[in-house]
Amino acid sequence: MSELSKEAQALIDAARTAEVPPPEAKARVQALLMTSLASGPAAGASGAAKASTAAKGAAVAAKLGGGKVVGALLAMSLAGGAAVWQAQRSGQPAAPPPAPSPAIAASPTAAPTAPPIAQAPEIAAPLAPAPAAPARPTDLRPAGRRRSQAPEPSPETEPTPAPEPLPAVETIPSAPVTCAPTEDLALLGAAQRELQGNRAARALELLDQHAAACPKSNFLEEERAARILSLCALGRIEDAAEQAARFRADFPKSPQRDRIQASCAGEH
Amino acid sequence: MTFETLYDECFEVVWRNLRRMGVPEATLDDAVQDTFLVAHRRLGEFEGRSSPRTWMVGIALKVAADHRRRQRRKGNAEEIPATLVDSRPGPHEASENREAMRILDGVLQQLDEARREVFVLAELEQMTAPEISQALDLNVNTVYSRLRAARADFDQALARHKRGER
Repeated sequence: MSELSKEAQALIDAARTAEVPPPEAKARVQALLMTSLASGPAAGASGAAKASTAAKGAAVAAKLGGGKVVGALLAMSLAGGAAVWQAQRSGQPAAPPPAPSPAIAASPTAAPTAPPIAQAPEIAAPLAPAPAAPARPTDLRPAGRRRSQAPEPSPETEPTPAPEPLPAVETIPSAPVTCAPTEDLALLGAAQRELQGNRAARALELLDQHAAACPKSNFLEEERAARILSLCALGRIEDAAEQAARFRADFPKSPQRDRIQASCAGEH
Repeated sequence: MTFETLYDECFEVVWRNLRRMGVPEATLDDAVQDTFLVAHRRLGEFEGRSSPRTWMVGIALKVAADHRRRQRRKGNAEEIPATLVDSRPGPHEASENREAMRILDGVLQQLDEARREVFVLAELEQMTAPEISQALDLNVNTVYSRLRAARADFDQALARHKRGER
């Protein structure tokens, strides 16, 4: 086989050494991923975590890097993504993110209203077929046109498993000594899911764990907001109102204030 | 393999191959994210027949193709991909290498997409032909033939660049 010219080889060798991602890119994309994973259906780079629109991505990257407090930029959805991340990290079978609606994923006519980038997660992963299997259901490209022409966005045809409750709750230690960013978010994400699942008492327990384990969390604002909502759900209105008053004093410009105002602890 | 391990081990290879395949810097984070979202959904199907790196590169190249297609639809297909990833001043050698990367981006952009994929994986990622065939779901002979053609195209494109042509 013909070889490259020496000049071409030298160019490639030199260029290869310069191909290094910016130092903050990995944490930035990780934060975006966590947001997308938490956002559920139709999430993707076009969803809540689109990088090109997200100053918040950079802010969260700083957070993940152990940097400054920017908690107001992300609400609890980010914590949900961290729980997914954490569940995967712990080696447990985390629930896959729900697939985008087939109607959106498969229909080119959806493009004007749905940013096209949303289709990217529908691309089939390149996997060799199993020996006995005639064709992978996930690889929808006809064999005759693979790579011979531009592949179309691959609509999802396989049954999409229903989202399952995250297993992260069971894996969370009751009193972790340290509080890494992902663990921090995993606790909050677990609490949020409990709250959404009408298990406010358990949510409150997890929030207590979070408060004990992560006293310097970058997400204290989110923790306290979730606590107020949990207290409301438990009918502890006076406690919720007391917490809400403190919250408004501590975080007067918090984006969480609307949620609190709409709760039992809202000011009238 | 957990998703977090996959991300840790494969972030860089995904990032640089998306770049090499022409994803502009402005949408590079999105493309990396898309790649890992696909991987997250498919992780349960990963059978270990190829390495995680090969698997991720295959996904990344499909995502890159998808991004290019959208760029074309948006009418800015000729946008030069990320030219200087890190424009901070540095040592002379680093500066020369970044210049080499800029030239490389321009030359790669002139290659046919199918050949470019094989070229990038073989010459820049230094993957073997069987690995490339797994990543791109291609026959090994096709990999060899495309690589042969891509090398010739690359040399010609580089020569044109040196002459100041496009």
